[in-house]
Amino acid sequence: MRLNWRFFQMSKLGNKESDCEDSFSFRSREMKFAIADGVSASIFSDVWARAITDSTVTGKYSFFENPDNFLNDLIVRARQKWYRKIDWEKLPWFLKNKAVSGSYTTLVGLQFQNTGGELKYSSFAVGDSVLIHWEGADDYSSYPLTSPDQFDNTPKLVWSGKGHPMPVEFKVVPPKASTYRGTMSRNSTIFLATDAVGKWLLEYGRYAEVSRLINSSFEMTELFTREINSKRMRNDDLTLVSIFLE
Amino acid sequence: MTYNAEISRRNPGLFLFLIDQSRSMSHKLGGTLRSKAQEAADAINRQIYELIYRCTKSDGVRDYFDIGIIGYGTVSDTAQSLLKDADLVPISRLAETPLRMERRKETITDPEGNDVESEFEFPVWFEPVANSNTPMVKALKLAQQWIDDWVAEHPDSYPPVVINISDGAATDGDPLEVARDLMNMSTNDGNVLFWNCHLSEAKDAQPLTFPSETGVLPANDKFASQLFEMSSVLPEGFKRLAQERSLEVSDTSRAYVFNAGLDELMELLDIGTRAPTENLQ
Repeated sequence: MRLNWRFFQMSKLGNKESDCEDSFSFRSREMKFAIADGVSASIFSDVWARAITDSTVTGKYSFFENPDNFLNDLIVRARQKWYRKIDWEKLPWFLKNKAVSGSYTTLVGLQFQNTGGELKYSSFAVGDSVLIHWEGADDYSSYPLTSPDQFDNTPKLVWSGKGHPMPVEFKVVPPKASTYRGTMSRNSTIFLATDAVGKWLLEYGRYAEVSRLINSSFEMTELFTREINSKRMRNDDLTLVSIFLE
Repeated sequence: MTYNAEISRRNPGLFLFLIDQSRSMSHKLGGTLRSKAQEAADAINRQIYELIYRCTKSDGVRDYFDIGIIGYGTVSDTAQSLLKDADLVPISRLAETPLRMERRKETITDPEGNDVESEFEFPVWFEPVANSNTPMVKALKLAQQWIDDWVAEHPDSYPPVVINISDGAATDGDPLEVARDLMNMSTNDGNVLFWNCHLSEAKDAQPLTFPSETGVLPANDKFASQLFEMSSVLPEGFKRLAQERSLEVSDTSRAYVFNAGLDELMELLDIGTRAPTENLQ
C-alpha cells in the first residue's frame, strides 16, 4: 500500500506566477496535507495562506481530533508567522491602511492514518476549497461542498486578525470548521482543490483526465487555460493536489 | 451587452470628477455645518481613497483605473485639472502623490469587546475652493477632449464615468448640448456615463435620487430639468446597487440627484464608482 501525490498550481491568467495567493503544504511523516486559497480582496493573503497551511501540517495535533480543540492554537501560530513576515513600519500608507484589516483564506486540512491495514483519513475545512474522493467512473463524494451550485462569493473564511498597530497578541475568534472522514480504498484518489478547480471538477467530472495529466505541468496548464478561455472554468488562481493509493 | 467589460491593468476604467468651485459653493450644505465646497472636496478625497483601497494588492496599487479631476470656477471662466502637473493619471500615481497627509483616528473593537483607538494616515489630493462663477460648459468641453484621447487609447475598456458636482446653473452658456455630445462618446462596451449631483443649501430640502422623469422636479427650476437631461439613464449594474440600498429606480431612472445633502452626495459617489469596480479582474 503506497500513497502517491502530485501537485499543480497556476496563477490567474494575466497575472504573474508570484501573484498566486493559493498555498499547499504537506508533511509526509505524519501524512498531513493542507491547501488554502488566500482571498484577493484582502492583501498579504498569500502570506496568510502560506502561514495557515504551514501551521496546519506542522502542528502537533491529530486531525482525527475535533478541530475545535486545535484551531485556536493553529491560528495563533499562523498569525505570528504572518505578522512577522510583514515589514509594517516600511509600508506606504495605502498598504498600511489596507493591511490593518487583516487577511483572509479558506483552508482544508487532511491527515491519513494506517489503522489495522486500512488507510483512514480525516479532514477539516473552512470555506469553499474542497476535498473530492474519487473511486473511479462516476463514483465520488465531496466535502464541504457537494455540488457546483453551492460555490458562491461568500464562503466562510479564516481571518488573520487585525494587523499593525494592533499587537501580534490580538485575539481572533476561530471559525467553525466542518469535518469529514473516510477510508481510502486501493486505486482511489483524493483531490484537494481550490474553488475554481473544485467547482469545475464537480461540474464536468473530468477526474480521470486530470489524474493522468497532473504528471505534466505543461499539459495541465494547457488544459486549464483552454477551460478558462472557453468560460467553463473561472479565471482564478488554481491549486489541485491529487493523492492516489496504489 | 454593454457595461460588462472586465476592468484590468490592460483595459483600465476611467473616473473623471467635475467640481463646481464657484463662490456659492462657500455656503453651507443643507443639514451640515460645513460649506458645500468642503463637503464636496472631502467626499471626493474619500472616494479616491476608496478606489485606491480597492485597487491595492500586496505588491502595491494596480492601475485598474485612470483618474481625472476638473475644477471649474476657481478662476473666472476657467476650467482646469486639479491634479498637480497632470490631466488623467493612473491611480497608482495618485496614491504616491497626495497633496498632504492628515492623521485621523478610528476605533477598533477587538473580539473581547474592548475598544482600541488607532491612528492612521489619510491622504488629501485637493482642497476646497469657492471662488468665482460657474463655467460648466468649459469644464464639459475639457472633459470631452480628455475622454476623446482616452477612448482612442482604450477602445475595449469599460466606458468612462464622469461625475459632476455642482450647486448652480452654468454661467458660460447652455451645457446640455455639450453634455449630449459627451454621453454619445463611447468605447466598444457602451457610452460614456454622465452623473450629476445638485447640491442644496436648504436645511429641509427634499432630495430626489435617480428620478425617472422631469415631472417630479420643481416646474420652476430650469436648472433641475437641465441637469436631468444631462444625466445618463442608469445601466443595469448601477440600478441593482441602488435597489440593494432600497432606492426606487426604474428603467428610465437617470444618474442624477436633485437637492442632495451629504448623505445623497456620498451615496451617488459610492454607487457611481462601485458598479465598475465589481468588474475588476
